[in-house]
Amino acid sequence: MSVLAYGVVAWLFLIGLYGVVTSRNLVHMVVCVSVAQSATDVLLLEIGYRTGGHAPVFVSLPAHPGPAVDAVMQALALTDVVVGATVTALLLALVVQVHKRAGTLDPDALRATRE
Amino acid sequence: MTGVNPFISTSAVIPASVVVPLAAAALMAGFSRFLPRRARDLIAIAVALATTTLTLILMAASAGHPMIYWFSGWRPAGGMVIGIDYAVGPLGAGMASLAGVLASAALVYCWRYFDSARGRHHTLVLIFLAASVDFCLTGDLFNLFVAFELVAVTAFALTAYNAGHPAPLQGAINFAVTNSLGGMCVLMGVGFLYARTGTLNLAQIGQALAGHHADGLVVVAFALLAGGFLVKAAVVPFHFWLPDAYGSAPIPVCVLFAGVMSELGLFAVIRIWDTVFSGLAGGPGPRMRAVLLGLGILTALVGAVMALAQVHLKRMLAFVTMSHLGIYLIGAGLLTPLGLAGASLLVIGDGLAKSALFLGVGVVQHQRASVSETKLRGRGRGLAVTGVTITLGALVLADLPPYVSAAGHGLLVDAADRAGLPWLEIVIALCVVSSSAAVLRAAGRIWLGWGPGESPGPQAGTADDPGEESQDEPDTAGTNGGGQETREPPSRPERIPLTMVLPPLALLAIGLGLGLTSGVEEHAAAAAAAFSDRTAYAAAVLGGHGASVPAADRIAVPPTSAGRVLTDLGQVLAALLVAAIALDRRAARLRRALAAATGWLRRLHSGLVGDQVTWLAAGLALLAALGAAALH
Repeated sequence: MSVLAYGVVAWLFLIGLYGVVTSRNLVHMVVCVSVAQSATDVLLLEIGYRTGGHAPVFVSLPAHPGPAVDAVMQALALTDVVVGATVTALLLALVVQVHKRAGTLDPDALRATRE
Repeated sequence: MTGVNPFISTSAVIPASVVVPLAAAALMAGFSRFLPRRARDLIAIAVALATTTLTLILMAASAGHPMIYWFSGWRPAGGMVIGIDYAVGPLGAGMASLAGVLASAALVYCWRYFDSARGRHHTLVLIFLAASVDFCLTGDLFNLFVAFELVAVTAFALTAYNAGHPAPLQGAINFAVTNSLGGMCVLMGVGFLYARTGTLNLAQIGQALAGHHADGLVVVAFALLAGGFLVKAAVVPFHFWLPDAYGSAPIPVCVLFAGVMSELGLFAVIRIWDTVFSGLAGGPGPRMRAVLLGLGILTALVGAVMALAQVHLKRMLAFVTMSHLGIYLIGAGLLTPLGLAGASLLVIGDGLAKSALFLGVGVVQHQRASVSETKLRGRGRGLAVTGVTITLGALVLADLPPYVSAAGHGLLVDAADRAGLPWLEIVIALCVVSSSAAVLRAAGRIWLGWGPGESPGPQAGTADDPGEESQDEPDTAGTNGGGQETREPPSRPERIPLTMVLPPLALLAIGLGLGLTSGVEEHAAAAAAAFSDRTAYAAAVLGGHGASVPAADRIAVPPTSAGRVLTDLGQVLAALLVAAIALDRRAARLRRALAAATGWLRRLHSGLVGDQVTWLAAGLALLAALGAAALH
């Protein structure tokens, strides 16, 4: 279970990076950034996971509730989701503007900041 | 925590320095439509000045004794951290007040710079300021990440503020993609450290790792954290986004970027090194010093060479900034209090000077509708005050005494000598002279009309430059066209608004005043010593009241010698000489040869985000290898 989760983290991050590097479409690129972002969420949840643990809600528990998963890591993942949504929204807004001004979504066709 | 100054309730000042700008930004976002424009401007300036005052109070009150603030009073119980803290020291508070000063200057400058700022710009600047202060004060690793992302997201939006043109959009996309990936690396590093130590508090993580040997997990955590922060600090090979963002952002935003944002990345690297990793067993300090110095030297040299090769003034200043970041990394990377003190004074002095230069370039752009050095040749007439400002700014970049940068340079060189690396002085001098000469060359061409201009034939350092045209266009269009930025045509070129002329001069005056203040070196050394003392920091945070050793007693600051002043003056003369050679018609062949020799480096800066992310991935792998070698 644990090894699989870390494998998923590595896969998501690397495939996201690969997608950003090779992307020929800015919308596709933004989605690839989100894919890489989801790797961090999986990692945080896996770090906080306890086998057999219950959700970190501490009201109306049974008599012997057993261990809970780590609420701190869940809070971190939640914050990261918010950050990710903000960045994705901002990037997509920029992409819409690029399409309006340049008429293309191919990142290699944009040469305004070329050295 | 009881403050050392009985006249100030410091426990209220600490959170107020973040709450004030953040709350003001929220109110402004909600209510700015009901306010007239000038009221919005005045409120934003007042809030920025208030934040500066609060952080200056913190800097004075925390000298010699760190101040710890626990949110909601959740203090550590039995040495176990259960809350989130601000750990305020003079170095962090000083960095925060630099952010406040520059934000104030940028907002004053906006009085006439934007024709129709609809409140959003000021809101974003205030959030940027609040996040920067939060970043400087926090003692919690996750809070550091949140502040990092908040600075980043506001910076993305500010870069693209002038969204009517392709260059700012593309600069913002490159900036946002690379820095978001950097943020993800930081967060994964945070997760790994939590997995190992079970805490997010910097002091407690450091305590948990102290005396242990670094294993693979700790090495990976270090590489991810350092890599993420170095993206923001624009250290080679993570720097490719920097000229794109700086070159296309509005001028007041460039001030915040060049003076504060990238420096925060370095601040975080040194903070996590000093509080978390420096206590690892096996004495990793000397090997880590080699890694940081190597990265710093490379960054300083690449920035200096690229700065000389630019004719786009904003991109030139971007590379000057990058070269400086390398020099700061050299100073901080010596991992001695004296080196950090020198770097800190340079951050203040160069930050003020670079901001003044950006603001001066903004005046030129506002009045002459171009930021191309060659197109502006001889067109400086009527902008004499700005010419003087830019020349002065360039001269203090070469450490002209008694400006505060000269003091920082002196400390840094002395720290390098004491570390047995006197040759670092030559590297630093080369970079400082090149950066200064690039700006002086531009000033000579624009105000004195020297050197070749936008005429057929080779130009200084930019022969057959295909990208120049495409870079200059957006700015020209931005000034004349219908963008947010400077919609007003320069109808009265003789009359430059005072709010655009005075802020850069005021910034230079602050730097001069600091340089003339006696004991500024001692204060910086004491602040740096307190910053890098891991055990005292941990005792202050975890023990509630740390028995901090008076730091000033431990650092002997060398007196300013005549030789040092002569060296600084030699740098200034060398910068003038290089600028003159760059403008001299007889040296055309030399310039062509240099341009050909550095062409490969310029071609690496393709401005394509895919290339930039490839470099980022390669840099991470490199950092992991170097980190493993240094920490194991």
